[in-house]
Order: sequence, then structure tokens, then C-alpha cells
Amino acid sequence: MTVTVSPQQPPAAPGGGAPLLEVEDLRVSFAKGGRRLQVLSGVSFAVDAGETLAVVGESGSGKSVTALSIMGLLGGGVIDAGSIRLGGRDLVPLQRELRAIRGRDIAMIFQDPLAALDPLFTIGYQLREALRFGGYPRQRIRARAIELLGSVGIPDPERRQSAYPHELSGGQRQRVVIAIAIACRPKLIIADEPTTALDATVEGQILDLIKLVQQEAGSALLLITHDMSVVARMADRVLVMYAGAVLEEGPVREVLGRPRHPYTQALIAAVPRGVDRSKPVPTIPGSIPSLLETPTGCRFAPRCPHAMPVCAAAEPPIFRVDEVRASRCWLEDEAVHA
Amino acid sequence: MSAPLLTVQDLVKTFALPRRSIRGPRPTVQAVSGISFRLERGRTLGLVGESGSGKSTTARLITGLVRPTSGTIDFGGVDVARADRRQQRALRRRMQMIFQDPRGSLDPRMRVRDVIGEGLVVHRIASGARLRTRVDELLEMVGLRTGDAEKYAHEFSGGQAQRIAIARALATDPEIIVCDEAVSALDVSVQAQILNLLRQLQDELGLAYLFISHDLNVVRYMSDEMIVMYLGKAVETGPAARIFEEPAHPYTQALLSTIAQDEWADPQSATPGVAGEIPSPTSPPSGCRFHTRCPLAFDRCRVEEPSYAVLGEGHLAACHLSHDRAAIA
Repeated sequence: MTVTVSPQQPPAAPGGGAPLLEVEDLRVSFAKGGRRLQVLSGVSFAVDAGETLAVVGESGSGKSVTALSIMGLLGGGVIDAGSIRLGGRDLVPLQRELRAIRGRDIAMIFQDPLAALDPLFTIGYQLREALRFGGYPRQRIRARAIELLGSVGIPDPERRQSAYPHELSGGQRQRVVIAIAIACRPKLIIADEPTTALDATVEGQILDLIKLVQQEAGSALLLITHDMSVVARMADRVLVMYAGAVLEEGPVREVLGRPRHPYTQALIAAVPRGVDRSKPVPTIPGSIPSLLETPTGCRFAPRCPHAMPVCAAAEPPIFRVDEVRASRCWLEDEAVHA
Repeated sequence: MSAPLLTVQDLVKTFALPRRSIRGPRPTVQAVSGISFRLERGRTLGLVGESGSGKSTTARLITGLVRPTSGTIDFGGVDVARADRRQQRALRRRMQMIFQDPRGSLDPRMRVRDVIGEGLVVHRIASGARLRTRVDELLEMVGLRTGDAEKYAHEFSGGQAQRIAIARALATDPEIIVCDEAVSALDVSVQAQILNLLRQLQDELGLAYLFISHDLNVVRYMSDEMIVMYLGKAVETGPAARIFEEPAHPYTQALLSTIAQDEWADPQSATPGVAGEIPSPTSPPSGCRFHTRCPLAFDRCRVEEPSYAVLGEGHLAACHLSHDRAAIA
């Protein structure tokens, strides 16, 4: 059974109560050569306290821009419309105050830990700086920094705190970045491809660590990734993005096990995971649409094996499939099947 | 069995590091410590391992970009390691490389036609009208339009740029292509297209691939044989399908557990993989190099380096426990 709801409205977050983070109808554009490129066209989702929401998509899907919008780090980008509410407070109109919220209430873990750390300061100094910034009692900062380094698995933290970033391995650096991120017990941790630069064996360790610190701090985790196995391992719910819009949303097992949107289906099939070597890997024909074209109809329609006349004519709304799942696809519309 | 295209024997590469003090000896690091394998026409050899395992150094040794400290690389009767300039030139024609970042490996100031045709000009294989026809033919082979020849590399997406890099590699009719993380920077849907293209070209042209990747799903799909490297050593080698089914070395087991097939359905089945991180190659552990991270290590592992246990069908594992198992079987 499918029920149509008004477009842009995500399914209600389970558990009741207001979600920690609520993004509604977020529209972001960048200026390029006198033209405006719309990179996010109406993104809506919610994250509950303690929950892990994975945002998955390919390059150009808008997943990183979504994260940067929340952090207020868009650079040349402009939020044209929409709201980002953290604990009920809209972050979009805030300018100066955002500095305080960022780092205290929201922390970010980036892909490249070497770029996230300052090469001129010891890791201990950078960690203490984060604690100072978060208003941690001064006399306890030193001890807390050492404790944090220990808790993220840096051996001999007392001595290692005077090491510089270049003296650590990639995995160790990412551990330090995580220690800095959780220093102020943030309500929300945003991790943008946190393990993409790491080896497979270290990746598992870092993912486990992120999960552990998240649980201890009771933080919500917004995980941006292109890697389906990372999604499977970490997420409670998953949001599938394509060309600046959310195409599917739902609990991780259901979305990975029984994807509803044709794009999600194609994306999962394209991972050469246990595929028969004698056959080609299923691919998605064509390529991601250019941001210069304003899409009429469904943005995935040109590449979709199930495309119907309606798909080219009108953009599908988000159809709520059941309590927890949603898909932006005309196939979910009862009228189409009638 | 036909004669292998490439036979590598006991390959060793030691790099000298900067002196720590004026008097002390110059420290060295052994990036590759005794690797042997064969590569046959039309086959793919997968090379997996963490950073610092020596897989990229192995690729550079084979392509003649660095000279080995010892060991031989026999490529159709010529030893790559001892080839003179003229021989090296000929070898480069028959062996090409594709790198991870296609845009970084293509000159942004050259037109695609010149990027692809450069090898043909350098090796004096074709010029004029023949060069044009060949470049057009190569573009079609990799699924690009002949009209693309007049564009510049930066006008293409990552996947298309990688197709250009493949066309460039194919220009001189090579027998071996070394793919060093060739699909790692690509999006999943594009990656699938490039994997299919590589497999199709292999079928059509009988190419042999040395395929280096950290993505085990990709290696499994591409490889006929594989080598698992750890700190410069091959800890396990053999038919790829067999190693993925029944990994014998504890390191391989841990590595493969990270892509356990049921992990997507049940996150609890995700194993922690290997504890700790790869030790510094400047001072590799005694005995078995993996013993510091091995969950099954015992006293002997710390002192005695294991030889290869023969497990049948060309499957070898350098582990004391595999010897015991092979003896019982």
C-alpha cells in the first residue's frame, strides 16, 4: 500500500518527540560564470539523538554540500531557502553564533586527517585548544586531553601528546581527529568519508571507534559516504542522494536488502560484490546530469530502466511507502499502476 | 601450460634512508623482500595489501621504473632488471601502466589526440594519416567518440578521463598493463563501467593485467590469481577464487573478513579485522612478520620465519599453521 504525502515531507522519525537535527527543504546554489548552479534542490531529513543516519551518493549528489551547509562552511555557496534546526533552533540565520555551536554542539570528522590537523602544533595542544574553546574547566584540561587520547586508542597518551601530526600514522591521526571531535561531547557528529583515506584493516578499527565514542557521548551521527559497506556497518537509517535531491530514505537493512528506488537498486547492483566473474558488472547507463540544466521531471529518468512518460513530464514527490520508508519515484504512485 | 609472459624470481628492493647521525650506518628499508610470481597472457594477477606492503614498489620494479636490488624479472626472454637503454625502450612499449588519478596522469595542455598518440610517435610506430586512424580506433575501443580527440583532458569526467588513460596505454599494443588502483577514485557506477571495459579488452586483445587494488570486491571480480602482500613479503598466493573461498593465512583471513558477504544483512557479523597497524618496514618484526598482529601467533612465529606451505592447485601460504595442516591432510 502506498500513501501520497505532500512533497518534501520526510517520514516522521520513529520514537516520537522532536528530532535533534531537522533539515527542511534546503536549497543551496553556487555562482559560476555569472550563472547560479543549484546543488541542493529541496533536501529534507531528520536525525534523532543517538541515531546514525548515513547519507550515500556518488560525486555530485550533494552529500558533502549538505554536511557543509549544516556546519556553516559553504564557502562560496548560498543557502537560498530552507531551514536547518538543531534542537529546535534554526542555524541558517545565525552567523557569528554559529562559531560557538560548531565545535561545541556539532563536530566534524573529515576525510583527510592530515589536512584537518595543524602541522605546526602538537596533537596535545590541538586537543587542549578544542577543550578550551568548548569552555572546559581550565585546571582539568590537561588531564582530560590525555584521557581523551587514551580513550581513542593512542598508546602511551602521556608521552604521545607532544607528538606532531606528521609523526603519526594515518589511522592514528584520524584517532586524534576523533578525540578532538568528541572533546566537547557534541550533540551531533558529522563524519564526511572518515575512512576513505585509510587501509581496509584500519578502516574497521576507526569505524568501530566512531561508533563507540558516539554511543558513549550519546551523540547523533551524520555519516557521509559513497561506500555501501560502510553504510551497512554503521547506519540505522540511510538517505540516498542523487543530483542534489533525496531519492530514497529508510532503515538500513530494508534499503540495502530491498531497495525501492531504481537508482538505489542500480547503485547497489554496481558494487562488484560476490558477482559472477563470467558476467559483466551491472552498470548505470549514462552519467550524472549537469547542474547547468534545470531538470524537468525525475532527475534519474534519463538513466532509469523503468522510466515512463510521466517521469519526463513531472518531478515525482517523495512517496511515503510505509511508516519509515520513502521513495521519490512515480512507481510508488497508485495512480500509475491503476 | 604455455610459457608465462612474465616470470619474477626472488625480487628484492632495498631503499637507503637519510642518515640519522653523522657516524651511524645509513638505515635502509626493504620495500620488497623476495617476491616470485608468473603472469600469463590473458590472465589477471591481483595484488593486495595495506599501505607499506610493497605492492606499488613491486609494480614499479616490474615496469622498470626502479631497479631491483636483487632478483630477476624475465619478460619474454629479457631481464627487465638488467636491460640496457635500447631494451628498456622496447620493453616500455610492451608494458604500460594505468594510474589511480586519470586527470593527474594526463597532460592538461595536450589534446586527447596527442595524449593517446604520444606513445606511437615516441616509438615511431605511426605518423600522419596512420596515426590519426589509430587514435580514432583506440577511442572507439574504449567507448569514446572520435570527435573527442580534439578536446582537452580536463573537459572529461573522471570515468571518461580514465578511458583516455586506457586508450593511451593500449596505443603501443602492450602485452601487460599494470593497473595501480585504476578504479579506486571512481564512483561505483563508473567503476563498474571501467571494470567491464578492462575485462572486455582483455578478452579481445589477450592482455595480461597486474591489478593492484585495496578494494577486495574489485580484486575478486578481476583476478585469476592473486598475491597477498604484507611488509614486503607474499604471505599467500594462489588462484584468487580459492583464496577468497578458503584463505589460509591469518592475515588474509582477517583482510577478507572485512568484506564478509553477510555483513550487509547483519552488522553484528562484521569482524574487527586485524588489530593494530602495520609495523614500520624499517624494522620489520622478527620471525613471521605478521606475528605482532596475529591472533594465532605462538612462540615459534616470533623466531622462525615460515616457509611456504603447499596447499595444492598452486595455493601457497607462509604460515607455520598451514604447514601443520598440510602435513595432516
